Amino acid sequence: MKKPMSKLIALALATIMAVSCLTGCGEKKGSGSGSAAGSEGGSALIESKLGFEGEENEFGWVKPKETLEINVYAGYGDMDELLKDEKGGKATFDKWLLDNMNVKINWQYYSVDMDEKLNLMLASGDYPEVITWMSDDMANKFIAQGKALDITDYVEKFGGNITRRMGNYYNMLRSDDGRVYKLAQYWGENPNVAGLDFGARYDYWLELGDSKIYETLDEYYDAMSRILANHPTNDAGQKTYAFSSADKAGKNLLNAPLGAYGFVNGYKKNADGTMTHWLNTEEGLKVAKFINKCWREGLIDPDFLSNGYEEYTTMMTNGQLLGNMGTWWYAWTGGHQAWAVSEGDDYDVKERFMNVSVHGDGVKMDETSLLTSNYIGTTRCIITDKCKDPEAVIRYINWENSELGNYIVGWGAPSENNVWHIADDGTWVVNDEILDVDIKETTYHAIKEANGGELYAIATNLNWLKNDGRSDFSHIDPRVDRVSFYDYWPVDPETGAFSNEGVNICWQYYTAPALDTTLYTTTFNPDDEITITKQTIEDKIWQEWAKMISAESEEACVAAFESAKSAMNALGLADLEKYYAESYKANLESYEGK
Amino acid sequence: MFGPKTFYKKSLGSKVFDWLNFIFMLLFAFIMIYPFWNQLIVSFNEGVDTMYGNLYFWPRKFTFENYQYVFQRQNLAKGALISVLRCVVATVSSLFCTGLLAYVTTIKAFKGRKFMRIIFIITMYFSGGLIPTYLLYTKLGLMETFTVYWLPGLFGAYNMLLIGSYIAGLPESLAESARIDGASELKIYFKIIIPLCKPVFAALAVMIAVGHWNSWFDVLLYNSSGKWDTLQVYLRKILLQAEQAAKLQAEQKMYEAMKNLTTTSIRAATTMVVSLPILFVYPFFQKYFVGGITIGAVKG
Amino acid sequence: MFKKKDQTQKINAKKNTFKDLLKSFWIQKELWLICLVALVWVIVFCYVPMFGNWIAFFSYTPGKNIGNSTFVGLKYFSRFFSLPDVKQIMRNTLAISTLNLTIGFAVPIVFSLLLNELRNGYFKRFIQTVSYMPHFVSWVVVASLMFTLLGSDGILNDILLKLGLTKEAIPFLNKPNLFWGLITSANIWKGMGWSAIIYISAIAGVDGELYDAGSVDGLGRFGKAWHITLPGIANTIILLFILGIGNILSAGFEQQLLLGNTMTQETYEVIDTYVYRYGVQMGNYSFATAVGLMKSAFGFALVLIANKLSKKFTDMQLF
Repeated sequence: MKKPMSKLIALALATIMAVSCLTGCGEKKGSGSGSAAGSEGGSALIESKLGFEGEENEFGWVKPKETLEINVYAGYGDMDELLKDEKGGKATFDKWLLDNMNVKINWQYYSVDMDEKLNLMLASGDYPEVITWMSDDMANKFIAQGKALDITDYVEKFGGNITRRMGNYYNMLRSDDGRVYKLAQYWGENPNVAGLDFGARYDYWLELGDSKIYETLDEYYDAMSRILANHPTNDAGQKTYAFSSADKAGKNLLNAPLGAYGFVNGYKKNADGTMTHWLNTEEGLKVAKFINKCWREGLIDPDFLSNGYEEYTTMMTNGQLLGNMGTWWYAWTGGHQAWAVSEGDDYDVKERFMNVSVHGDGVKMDETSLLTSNYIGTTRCIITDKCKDPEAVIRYINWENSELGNYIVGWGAPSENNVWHIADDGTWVVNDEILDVDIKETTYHAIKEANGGELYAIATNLNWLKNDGRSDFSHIDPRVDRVSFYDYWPVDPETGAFSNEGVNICWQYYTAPALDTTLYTTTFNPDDEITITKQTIEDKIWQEWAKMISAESEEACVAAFESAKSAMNALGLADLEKYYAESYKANLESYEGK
Repeated sequence: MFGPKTFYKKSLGSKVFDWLNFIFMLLFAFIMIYPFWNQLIVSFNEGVDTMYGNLYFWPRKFTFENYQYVFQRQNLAKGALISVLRCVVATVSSLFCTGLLAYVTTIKAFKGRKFMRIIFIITMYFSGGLIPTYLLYTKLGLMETFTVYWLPGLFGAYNMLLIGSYIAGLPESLAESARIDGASELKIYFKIIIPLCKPVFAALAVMIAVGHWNSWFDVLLYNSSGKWDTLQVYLRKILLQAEQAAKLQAEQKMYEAMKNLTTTSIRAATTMVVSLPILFVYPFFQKYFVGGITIGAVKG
Repeated sequence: MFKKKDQTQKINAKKNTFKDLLKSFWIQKELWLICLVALVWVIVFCYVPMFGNWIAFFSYTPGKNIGNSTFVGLKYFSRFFSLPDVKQIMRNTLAISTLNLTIGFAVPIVFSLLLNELRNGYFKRFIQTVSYMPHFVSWVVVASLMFTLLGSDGILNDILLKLGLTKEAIPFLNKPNLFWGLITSANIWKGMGWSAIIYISAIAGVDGELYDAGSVDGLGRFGKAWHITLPGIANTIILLFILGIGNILSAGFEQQLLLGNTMTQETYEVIDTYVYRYGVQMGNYSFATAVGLMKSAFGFALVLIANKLSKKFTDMQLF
């Protein structure tokens, strides 16, 4: 039995080998031709055959004779949701695009993880002309294999708005060879969203009768202790806490105080351009001691390591969590946005979390890094080698990045039925009823959505401020101070305060300035040693951090800090410090166009 | 489950055991039902109110809204139909083929049985991974077809071994005498093996059907156009929202996604709608679990 | 499936020649034809994709092929073994899967035996159906229920505090030394009814005449369970155990990520969670494949050994 058996197995294996070799050869051919096409793109401009002739129309667009069709893969999403309403926002916007621009956009979502899908697309060679919302890392993978077109010359010739409004930041998109293969998606100055917060229940804080808002970490600790003493349990009789975490590691409890000391990504930038990891700084030790004190005094939820986002916001909603150290908007979704709905008419505007900025010892508020803004954003758009008419696509993206294009793509087709329209004098007016702050939260987004706002954004500027010096504000409604893709903030022209009382309560004590962190962007190649080092250290650090937080005495906390410090340095922290410093330097150089 | 001729002497110990067993099973039932019960009450509770937490045994603010939301999704009926079709076709084809293979590999006189078994057992431990499988299906033209639901699962090594072990427990003389009578192997499989193997076939049918009903990843991956979307996938998209929202890179997108997140209650309602139909598969198949006692009859 | 060692067959095997095999192709052509279909299927759907594992030995990014990837030999295998935490990861993996393979393996068997002793048919069916319901509840929900139960404000701590058994709430979820127990209980809770299905069906297959014979021999309930039911399903038990041994390096994944936290990482980190972070999340397919291949090879080797041992001691074997 044995002998023929082994022969049989050998025979079977040989067959399999043959079959797989055949399939392997097939693969080779396919991808080979793909990369060849990619390298051609850079040399000469392919002129568009759609017929971009004549003058710009009132929307600043040269309408082509033939319809420009763009196929876009835009990451994770639910096509059922997009297509569900045949007469909804999508139809309105599609019609507007076709009538006024002669453009048709085929938007594609897949309900699978974007990175996963992109890897499969790369492997099978089956991807559309334009991919957006991808991570910088994935964009680089496409570029490395010659599957993203070199668009440098197209942008130079047809992308005036992109280069004008990006300014020097455009250089940061360049590859090592100085060419551009990717564009930024959702870029621009965006200080509203990425902010760290030292929030507290506003109504409870008022009860304290403090004349002045807390401004340092210690004052914050003091205020939160007193609030907690006043409200030891919530309505349901559960014990209350000042702080918790939503990331299963207590990262927010470190990042927020480090932000109060001006650290970026956990590193302190020294005057000589070097970077020091927080474990190697005095401020780091202070933060560890501070959080450990909060823990020992019972301010921190003992189950903070088990909570995810939903458990965290549930604790806020049911009154178990009275402060918010970390991402500011958790306090909105878990706080007043939930209460306003569930309490309806009984809701009191003071019942909410206020967002507050504080600074560390020996640091001024201006030196904090609580509010950060990455100008080129974190997501990218590429035009792939499948695209036959890069000129037309760049023309369209360029239009998208005009001031008016921003408005249309962001807020939907202009009309009296939408949240905005174009007045006879050419001003882009926000419709009056939308400016009524009382109904803004409920109506603004719904109306905008019904008109196709925020539906298709391929590589768009997200928002712009009056003082950025690169954008043209001449057509904008004077009642609006800052324009963003997704929202607007009407401001009282006399006081400069937000017209909405609730929004104003939330933000009145947030005085930290926005820090531009674009140059701190650091990328890690998955196969490099430094990436492994970084991942190992990060893994370890959060384990050590949990020990520092929950140490039983200050001495034990300091001991945990010191042991973490020596362990991490042994794992190669110095290499990481160097890597971060170097990539900052490299970013600065490319920003300056060197 | 025992044969009808089985009797117990009702000793005291036996009675005590019966009672203890009964009480234990009741407690057990509570522990097993509770997670499901919890999802049920959450699904009937108002979405925003659920954010307050502390829901244990009864909804606080009763509502049908969550179910309305779920049932408003389009194509639910079509999805349900495809799901049922998938379950039936995949379960029947897989059981038939795997069972046949299992039977063949238990025939002692068959020379290739060890070889076949090894070839299949290897596949239990070594597999190709996502990308090669994806490329293979593309080459075979299985993308965007119904075939991709059942063909790749036609034979299963694990089930082959289970059915095989069951057949090995049967008296060998049954098949042997039929063979001597000149019956073909397929006929033996149909007339003798399948009827005798009802319990194991029923058990595996439950497992395979549930597996197909619950599977969604292959649908999203290999049928991304949505032409053959199953019920599970229509609803899974609701559940995936939360998972994906947490992965978003752009802070702005994340805030919006979280703000518009479907509530825990809607997700619970979704879980209910997806799993209730398939829960009844088990009770349906349970009657086939009583089959072993007929061996004697066949033998005679 | 399992065959008793048959002396005559052994002697026949020795005499076998290649010629005999060829002859058998003709005599047993119907059987070979069935096998041919199965073979074509298994080659196409299992063995062809298996060759995709070459990426474990190359530095691979999707879109490349074997021709334009750099051969790196065993780099990714040695990377795994040079991890600072490799001992810890292996310890956790083996500990958790050993618990699953012993306690987690035995519970469904005991459950199906107990279920078999229930007399009321409807009650029995009810319990049976109920037992597999947790299979349909996602791990996310199970985890959040565990938190409600075990959190510092949780039900268990409430009870302990009221009974005066502890002075302070015990942070069960933050105790590294409790994690193995925690995850094993969760696994049993979620999986026992599902695993029991196959045993219940195997019990149904036990020949009814044996019980009658047992009654005649004066066997009581426990005697029958021990001497008839258990041996009746022994084939299935041993089969599943041998197959389970092959998965000893897969100790779960989702449940670890959901139930564990940084405080318990020293006891929850297993191979799969590690590979998820360093392979899948970082887009390093080569590393993930290398570890997967290693797991498979190790698991398969164990199955071969277990099969040999089983053949020696119980007269049963997979092949």
